[in-house]
Amino acid sequence: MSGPDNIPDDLPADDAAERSLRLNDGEADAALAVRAEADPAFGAEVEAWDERLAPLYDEIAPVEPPLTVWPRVAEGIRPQAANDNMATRFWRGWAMASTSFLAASLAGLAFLIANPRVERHYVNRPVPAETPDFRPVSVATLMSSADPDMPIATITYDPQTGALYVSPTMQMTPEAGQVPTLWLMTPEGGVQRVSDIDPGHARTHAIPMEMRPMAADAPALAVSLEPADNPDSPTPLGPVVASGEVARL
Amino acid sequence: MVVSLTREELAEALEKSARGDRAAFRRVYDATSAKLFGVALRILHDRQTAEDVLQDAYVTIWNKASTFDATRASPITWLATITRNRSIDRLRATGSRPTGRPLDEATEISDDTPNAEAMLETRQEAGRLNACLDELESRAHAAIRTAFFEGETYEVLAQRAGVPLGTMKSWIRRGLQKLKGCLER
Repeated sequence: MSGPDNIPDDLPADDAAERSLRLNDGEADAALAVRAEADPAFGAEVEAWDERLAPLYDEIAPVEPPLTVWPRVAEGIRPQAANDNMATRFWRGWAMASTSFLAASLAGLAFLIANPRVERHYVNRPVPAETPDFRPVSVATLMSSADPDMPIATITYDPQTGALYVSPTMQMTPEAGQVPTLWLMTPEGGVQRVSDIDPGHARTHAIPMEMRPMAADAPALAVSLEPADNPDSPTPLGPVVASGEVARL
Repeated sequence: MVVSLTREELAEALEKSARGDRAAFRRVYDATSAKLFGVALRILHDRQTAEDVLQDAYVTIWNKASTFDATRASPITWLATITRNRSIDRLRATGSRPTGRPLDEATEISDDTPNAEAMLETRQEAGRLNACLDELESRAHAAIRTAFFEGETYEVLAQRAGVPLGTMKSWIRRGLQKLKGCLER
């Protein structure tokens, strides 16, 4: 059967065009993305469709982004010696000192395998990163302990109000009995529990007055998976799954 | 801050970024962030989410800069495509897409950025693309534009048009084939 223009109704798909326009759902779209990466010829066909359709971008008016975006980008591209930056070394050393290191590492590995990079599950962020009452002066991007290119969460802190904004980049899915917990490194090299964090949603945490100077001076932050039945341990018992150094804006 | 760079200057700044030149990458950001933020906002309709996606897109651009090939792609198309794809990823992950609207109901607001050197060439290309889109059946034309500007899938496009999925696929596949032929004439 033919439609208008003598083109049959069962016209085969132009996979490159469909990938460029993102016409397919979920797995089919992801499969075309993988193919475009793996097959240079197909990748070039997709790029050719990107170029054909590119004049449509001319219909989109530019909008100046807020000044807070560049510092976040700069933080995200800050040079790090892969998995060997200061924060990672510190937290790795801390984990090594833990008697439960082996079991903790295996648990952490399971956690990270459950969150492969190709299956990012972004979370909603209901709380604005900056408001008239929230002016962050420090920021940290916590990178996965297993994949240093994979951001787990972005954290911003306003020492004036004590507001700490924790924004998971990935949908964290800890196992039952595990609580993602945020820690800060003190300038003296100790650790301080900050709070449990919501693995699926951005939240603003109120830092107690007595902890604010310490939070303002913290050189690094980390997230560990703590046992739910031991919520008040002064030091991490579970695996450190992400860490990052703090940058001042 | 909007800084105008020619296509060649932008390509050169991207190539330097690929070698770890952060100052060059800042020039890329200054020259393109308003455009890319516009792209993210157009798809996501939410400033906070668009800011997050913009950040993510630039980190991706930094990490993938070495894969940019100036002989195959224009730099602004490469950047905008990464941003559009990141925006669509986020849109689909959160499921927060606006629904119920007819296809391509919005009249787009033109980018009236004062002349970059490539603007005339871009306008000519836009004119040619739009002329070819105008040759398509109106329903295919509308569906392709909606897919581009809103990141909708075949399935959602079919729902919005009130037609079976197979019908929508036929419309769009025929439209894309005609479009390709027209642009290659």
